[in-house]
Amino acid sequence: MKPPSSAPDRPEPPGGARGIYLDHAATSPVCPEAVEAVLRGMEITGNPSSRHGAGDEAHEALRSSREQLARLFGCTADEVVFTGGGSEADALAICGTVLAARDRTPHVITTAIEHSAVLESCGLARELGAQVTLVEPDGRGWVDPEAVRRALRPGTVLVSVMHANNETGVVQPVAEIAELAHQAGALMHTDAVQAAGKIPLAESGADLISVSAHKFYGPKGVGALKVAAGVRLAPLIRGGGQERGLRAGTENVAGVLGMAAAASAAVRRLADPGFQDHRHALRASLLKGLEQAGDLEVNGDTASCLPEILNVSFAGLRGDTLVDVLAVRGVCVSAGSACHAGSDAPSHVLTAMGLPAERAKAAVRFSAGRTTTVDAVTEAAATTVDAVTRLRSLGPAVPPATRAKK
Amino acid sequence: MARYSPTVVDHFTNPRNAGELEDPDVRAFIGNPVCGDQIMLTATVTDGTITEIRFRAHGCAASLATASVLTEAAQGLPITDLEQWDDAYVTSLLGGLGPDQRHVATLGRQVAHRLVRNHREGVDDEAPLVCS
Repeated sequence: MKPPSSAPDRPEPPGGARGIYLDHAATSPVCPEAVEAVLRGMEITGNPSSRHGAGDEAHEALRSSREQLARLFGCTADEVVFTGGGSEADALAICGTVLAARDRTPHVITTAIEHSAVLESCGLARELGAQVTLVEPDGRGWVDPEAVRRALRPGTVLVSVMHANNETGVVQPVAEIAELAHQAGALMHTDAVQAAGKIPLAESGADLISVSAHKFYGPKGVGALKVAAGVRLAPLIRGGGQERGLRAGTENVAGVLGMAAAASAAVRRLADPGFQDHRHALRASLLKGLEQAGDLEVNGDTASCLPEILNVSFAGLRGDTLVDVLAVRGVCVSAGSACHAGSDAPSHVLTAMGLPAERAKAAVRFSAGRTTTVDAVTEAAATTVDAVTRLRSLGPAVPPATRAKK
Repeated sequence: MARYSPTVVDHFTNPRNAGELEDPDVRAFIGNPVCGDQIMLTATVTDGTITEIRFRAHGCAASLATASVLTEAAQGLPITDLEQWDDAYVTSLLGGLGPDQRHVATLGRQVAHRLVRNHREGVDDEAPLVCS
């Protein structure tokens, strides 16, 4: 339908019609290699379980994809289980371990800063009869291995600690915690959904590792779980016995091919010093630009974090409001919390870190990606500083007698 | 932006009448204790008509837009007219609200009514005051 001639022209957002995308921690654009692989997979007719030529073609696609994922995990191809995404991989790791531990009351240790996919799976594990201990992080969003060690007990079957936090980007001491878990006879799971493609996963020491394709430039709706040899898991989705009997259902061949192509590209990037320099340069430029707004605090340990993720609180405004204003102005970012039906709970991650509610509610997450340029983050920072200044000028809304004296 | 009506987007990106009058005839403040949204209105009233009105606001984008829309609608009206405003009218001023945003219509209606009452009773919201 043609708009009426009186309709105002929409202002063109900066960076073209799609704006400046700084929300890669939510999802990332599919890379050309993955697009090509998905299209190729769509041409494959056979069921990987079928015993004929068409089935063989699909089976071979899965076999080669499994090898590519194994290189991302740093494991053997036999240890890779394809899933319908990161959340499903987390559920299989946690509930699958608990269901497999039939002979005792299983105890699971996790942390207060996990993604809801892990926390909710631990909730289900509780319903399945497990006991769950939540370990709190410190004020920088870092989980102390010593706190995990104190939570271990004879019945502990699983320790689940995320590799890098999705809100703050803080990288956790997973290898150290894995060692403690193993010494106590427990399995180690790590939700590496944010870390995959940014940190080598082989060094994590974890028996179970969850990844999600769309966070490393693959398609949505497909993921994988590394299940180390000898680990006993009970399947959650049962039926045809696919994926070593751990995940029934005909495999998403096109999605798996796309994820595998994205995984290979990610492995190549990890070894590229230019990529490493670029991600640090983006963070430095973004932070330098944002600091022009004044009165901002970076949330999370800046010494140990993914440089792609920058979580900041601008004093005197709400994060969700800033995100909405920036969305209109063509800058795509995320807030830690959002106002829903008149109530908003600040992020459970920032709250667990002990941040005051106002600072947690002010939090905004910028997450850069492999195609983000220094020019783009500089422009996004300038737009943000202008939006922050305007929003601050609307407050404070409190009556004069109650305003804090400076 | 599909989350919000074009009017809401227009008002939170280009707020009208932002600020605070130096020597207002009436002041009204409302805060939502659950989500922390706050709106303060200051107005000059001459012969019962709102001749100047400003807002200060802290909160979600929809509540900022509500404060801005209110001031634009109230400017030039007899102040007692605001007493007729209900949630549906505030919602219509905003060009509609999603289910998650309807609380801001209540906030807008409450602060408008409070402005009328404070003017009638000669009350100034100098002290913190929180309504549900």
